[in-house]
Amino acid sequence: MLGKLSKTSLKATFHSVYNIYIAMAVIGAIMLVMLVVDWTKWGDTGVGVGYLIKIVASAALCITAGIGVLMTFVAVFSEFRRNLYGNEGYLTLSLPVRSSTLMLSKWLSASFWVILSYLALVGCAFGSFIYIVKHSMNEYASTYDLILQLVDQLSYSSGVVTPSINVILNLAAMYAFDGAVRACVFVLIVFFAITLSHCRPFSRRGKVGTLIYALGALFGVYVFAGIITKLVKIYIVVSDTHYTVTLSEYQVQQAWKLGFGAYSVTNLYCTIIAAIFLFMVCCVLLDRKVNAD
Amino acid sequence: MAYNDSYDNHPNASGEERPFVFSGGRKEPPRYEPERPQGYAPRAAYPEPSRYAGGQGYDDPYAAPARGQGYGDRYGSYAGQAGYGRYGEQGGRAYDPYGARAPQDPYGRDARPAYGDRYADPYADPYAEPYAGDARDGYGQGYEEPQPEPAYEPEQPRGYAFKVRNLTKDYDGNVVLNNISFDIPAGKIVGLLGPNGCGKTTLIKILSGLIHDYTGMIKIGGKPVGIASKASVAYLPDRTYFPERFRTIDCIDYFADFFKDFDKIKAIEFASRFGLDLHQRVKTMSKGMQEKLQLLVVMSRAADIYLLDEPLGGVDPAARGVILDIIMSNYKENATVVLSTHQVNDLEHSFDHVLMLGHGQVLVNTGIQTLRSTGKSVEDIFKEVIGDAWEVE
Repeated sequence: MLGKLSKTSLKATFHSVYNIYIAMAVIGAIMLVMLVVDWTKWGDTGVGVGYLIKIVASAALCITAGIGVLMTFVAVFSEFRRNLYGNEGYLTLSLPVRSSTLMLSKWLSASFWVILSYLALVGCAFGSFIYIVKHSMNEYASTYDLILQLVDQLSYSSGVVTPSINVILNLAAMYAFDGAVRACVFVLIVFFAITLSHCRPFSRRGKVGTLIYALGALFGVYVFAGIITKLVKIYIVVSDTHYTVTLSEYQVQQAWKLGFGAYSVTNLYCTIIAAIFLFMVCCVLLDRKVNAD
Repeated sequence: MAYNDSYDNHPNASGEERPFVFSGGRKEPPRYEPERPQGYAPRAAYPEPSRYAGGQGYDDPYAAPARGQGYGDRYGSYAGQAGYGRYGEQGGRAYDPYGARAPQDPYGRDARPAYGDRYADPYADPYAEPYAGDARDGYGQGYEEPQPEPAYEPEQPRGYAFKVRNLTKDYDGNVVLNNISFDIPAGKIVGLLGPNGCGKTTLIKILSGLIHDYTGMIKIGGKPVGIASKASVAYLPDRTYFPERFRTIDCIDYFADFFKDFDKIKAIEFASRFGLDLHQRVKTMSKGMQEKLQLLVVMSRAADIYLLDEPLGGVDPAARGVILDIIMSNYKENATVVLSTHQVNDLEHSFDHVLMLGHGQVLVNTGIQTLRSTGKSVEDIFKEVIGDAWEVE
């Protein structure tokens, strides 16, 4: 049932956001065409109309991807509300499935689309950057080397070894994972707020109420995570080849000095725990309090 | 009003209620009426019950083809349809010592308990009625019963489709259902009647599991409202609930995915019969088409209970006949059908049982025959009862 429900939700959101991906594809295609057009034939020396079009197209791609992220959020939330608490709720809530299955399918589908939109945004931004600097890549590479040398010198003078590129990539992966998880938790927080706003007596405030409950839940989750993070510090030390979990701040300081990275995961863990709690509350509300209007 | 039957002493449970008289809208299968020779002995006179089982080995040339439900169904359905006697629908069960045991149905249908209150058996021999001595309408009079009645099994109380106890539901202090308790017998077509705003839709939504913040106890087929009850309830709301992007075939596939009792082939046939293009999107359909679509998927389920909320609401008189026909000719046998309406006149001939709500209370909960025994139509009683209920005190 989870698979079928998720498939239905994925399709529903797809119908709301596919236009933005088509727009991105069209802009991307224009950019590719621009690459093969030789503007010098028309007297363009590299900073004329052709270059301008490339810049505009790159900016348009990034803006479109950004809009895509916003649209995805709007689409998954409105889809959630419509499918559970709107007219479609008459069908969805009469299905012989557990509320947890229903909620999980909605969350999985929404998370998929949100992460996809993030990836699209990051991809577009990175691709546009490469696209713009393609002809002067060597200059950028030398600038990058120059910056690294500067960092090395600063590190050496302060007694810290500069992290290797692998460590930096591993840390980046950790932060990306953190961001994705927080985006999914945010989705769940809004789902919780929408669900709460369809239960009496919370239903009286309408959409404003939903916004208030979402902000309240968000605040609650991050206050909870912040308090626990103050009390308990859990780190992951990132080296070239492996990750190590530690509770010792001394080890973390040593890791940075040795050219490793360190990343605090307490906050993330607490956020996940809070999200699981909100998920369970959502299921209970769906079972006991929510009415299809 | 004296129309309210206590749920502890329902006429169906006591067997006193007259069986339903067929009148319009329902399936009316062809009757098999063989020429009857002299000296024909009624079937009850045959001494070996085991030979009747499933009709196997029974060499009566006038015998109806044996069915899984055996004689109980035959008698019951016959009596139930024509109102032949006091056995009526209960008789179908009481006199079915063999049918339910039929090992195999030669027509490919599963043996099932013989209620016999719904359809006439198309193969039933009308002369086979052995209890015609009790007939009230002249059928079978003068047809003497040569054998004593077989041992009469005590009537078992019918199962209940719904048991509702102390149900209260309010909307921000507006009490819609006020501590109501009632039972609805299984296997009936129930008219849920009442004026606008009396709580019909609320009650149906509660029974469907769409409303949760109520107080009281509800059992549907013996189970509390939940996943199990939702699997056995086919619910037709009073609004369009399919996503606009869905095509007809998507709606059918959706039901096929989630309801095990859904008959996809039947649904596709329905769609074809009603001129619905399988690839047409819901958003391009007219309201009438959308209602047909919803009705066809709901009625393509073999559910134990059908909850139909205002199925005739907002449709033109011509479409009403079609919709009524779809409902009456497609629900699963022995299922309970709850039809919510305030258009009593259109549907009153289809009801076996009536539940009238008003003023947050159950005003009437009784079999149709009890109502008719008052000499008034359901509509008259509706006006009388609802009028009383809505009088300003």
